[in-house]
Amino acid sequence: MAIKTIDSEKCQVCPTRQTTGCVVYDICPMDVYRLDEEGKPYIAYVRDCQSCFLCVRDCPQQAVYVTALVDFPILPY
Amino acid sequence: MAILDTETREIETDLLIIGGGAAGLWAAIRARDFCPRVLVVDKGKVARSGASVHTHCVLAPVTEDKIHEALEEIVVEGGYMANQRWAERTLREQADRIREMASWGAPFRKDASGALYTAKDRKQVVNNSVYLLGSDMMDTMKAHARSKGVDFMERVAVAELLTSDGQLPTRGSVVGAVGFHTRTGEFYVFKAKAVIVCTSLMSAELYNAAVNNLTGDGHAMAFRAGARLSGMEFGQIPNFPIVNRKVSTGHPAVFQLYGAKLVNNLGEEFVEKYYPGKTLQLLSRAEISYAVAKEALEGRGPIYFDMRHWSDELINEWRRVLPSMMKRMDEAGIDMRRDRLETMPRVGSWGGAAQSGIRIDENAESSIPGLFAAGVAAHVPVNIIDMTGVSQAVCYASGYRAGEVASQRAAGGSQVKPLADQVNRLRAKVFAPLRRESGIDFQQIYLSVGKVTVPAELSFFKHEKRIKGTLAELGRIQQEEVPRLKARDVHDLVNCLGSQNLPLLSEALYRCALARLESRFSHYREEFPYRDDINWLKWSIAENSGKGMKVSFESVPIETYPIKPAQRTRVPAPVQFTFKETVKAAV
Ligand SMILES: Cc1cc2nc3c(=O)[nH]c(=O)nc-3n(C[C@H](O)[C@H](O)[C@H](O)COP(=O)(O)OP(=O)(O)OC[C@H]3O[C@@H](n4cnc5c(N)ncnc54)[C@H](O)[C@@H]3O)c2cc1C
Repeated sequence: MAIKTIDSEKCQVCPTRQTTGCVVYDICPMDVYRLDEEGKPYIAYVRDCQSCFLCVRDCPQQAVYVTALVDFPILPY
Repeated sequence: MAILDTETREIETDLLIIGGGAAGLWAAIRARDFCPRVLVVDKGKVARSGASVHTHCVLAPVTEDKIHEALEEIVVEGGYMANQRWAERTLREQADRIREMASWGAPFRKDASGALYTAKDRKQVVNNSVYLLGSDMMDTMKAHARSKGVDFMERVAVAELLTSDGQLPTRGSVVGAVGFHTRTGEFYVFKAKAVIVCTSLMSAELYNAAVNNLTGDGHAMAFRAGARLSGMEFGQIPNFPIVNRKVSTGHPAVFQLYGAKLVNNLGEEFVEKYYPGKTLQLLSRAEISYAVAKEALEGRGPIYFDMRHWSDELINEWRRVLPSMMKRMDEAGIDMRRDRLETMPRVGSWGGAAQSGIRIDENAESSIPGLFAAGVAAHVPVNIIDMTGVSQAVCYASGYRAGEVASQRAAGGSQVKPLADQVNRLRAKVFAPLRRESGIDFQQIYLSVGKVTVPAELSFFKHEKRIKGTLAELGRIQQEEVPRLKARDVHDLVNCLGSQNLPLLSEALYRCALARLESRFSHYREEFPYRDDINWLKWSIAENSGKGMKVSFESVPIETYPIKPAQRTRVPAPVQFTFKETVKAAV
């Protein structure tokens, strides 16, 4: 499970979100984001985040923080 | 629950392509040359979902005078198991594919003179690679597909195929598919004259390679419909992505290619011992993983990658090319200039296109009329040796061919109306995990299957007795756990559907592993520690007989291929190991 934060202040002023919609909500392969009434993204399905960092890369405001450290058990080999 | 009452949306198209990765997009682009309505349906976002977006390296164009040599490299290293017709087509067509992509604006890396930058990557002596970030590639291809009139439908997960006789397995043909919108829960019925499955591989362990939503959906639905799967015993892809027991890098190849040392706890560089004369660059991930596993199991672990001699320049280059991998290192507090990286072998994802998948012929058609497959979902035995970049090339070649043939079939064919009875049954089946009041979580399935497929004595080093134990447990999981899967909401239904495939496809894998009485690639049997080309130049076939799973074998038609072995022999497996309970405790 990747713990993540979104900088809501950066979202607030995001011109892309206000015109074409939130990019990270649009692109997430695991679809972990949902939008609030203002159209700002929040993390709705945190356990499904696979730490691919695509949102970190695509977010025009660099508002997303993702960690790669997982707390899912790594099975012994 | 409101979702269960959602409307059914019926969509009619000529050609339905399930999955919009590199293979699906090549299929779609080519198909538009022959038929008017081409629809790509993807459960995620095309150009961001799946594996293609994470790639960085592609087989370089091969000039005509080098084709034979390039083919030989692939065929001989691959133990003569390659389908040489697919291999030759892949090599021959690669120059055209790269040229076309570049003409659409794909920003391939260039050298100082402005030519394509080429280099030798994993396993390459004759062949070369060119470099293009997966996200740039996919953005370019998606834009081009759009401009050619391909239709897209995203966030729709396809769950099952529709057949002309309404049966799974079918005696007829494939006439469409059903699925649901992953956000709204709307149920979709797709009617198509031909279907191409491009759904890629299966992530068998979560959080290993950033492809958690590749869950073998295409393999499983094709299997249920009666299509043959092949090479399943080679489906586990041995790899070594876990670093310091903390993070998974997904990109271990970089350690191989740039002179990292692989050492055991005694400081010995041990790979040479198993593969004389071979550097890390010339070994597949499977070959390295076997050596790593054996060293660790014999008490010489942990095993480390050591790149403390790397320059800042090189490390900065990786920051540019593979930022996500470097970010993982940073987060785990790993400084490659200071620390050694402990590595662990895994069988985290299954089913590279070379090793296993939906059996297709040279027209990319499966054993069921109307059903085609391409890319990693298909079994296109070319890159058995795990050469970097060839997987992409195979996706291009098989996607292109599938698009070409399936679209012509669709253009000349007629629509068969799916049977209402089958649609209704499948709708009930698909939504079942949502209806349950209580039940088990999808992650439980991964854990249950992982326990009997991930440990080294059940994955790397197999034995009849232990395979049978795994099969019994996989049967139990399918009977007792899968029917109790509970989806929290529509989003979670996607997870549930994906997780159901894992025990089914694992069963195919272990059944084929039980039947193959030799050792080859990523399949090792303690009782038969040798590659036996006299008896086993064969591909396994797993199919759904309607009453259970049937396994058979089909010979590689080596006598019809240009490159043949001088003689067929038995060769000892380079890494041999007999598992003893006492050893395991020491790891
Ligand atoms: C981390 C990583 C790095 C890699 N790097 C390289 C590399 O550098 N070079 C190389 O040659 N190969 C590389 N590979 C191998 C790679 O898998 C293949 O080269 C290729 O990208 C696979 O393409 P594809 O089109 O078959 O599948 P993908 O690109 O995975 O696309 C499959 C698509 O199907 C969709 N899908 C799945 N199930 C469903 C469903 N039920 N309904 C609807 N849609 C569905 C997915 O959302 C996805 O978009 C890498 C693989 C991984 C995992």
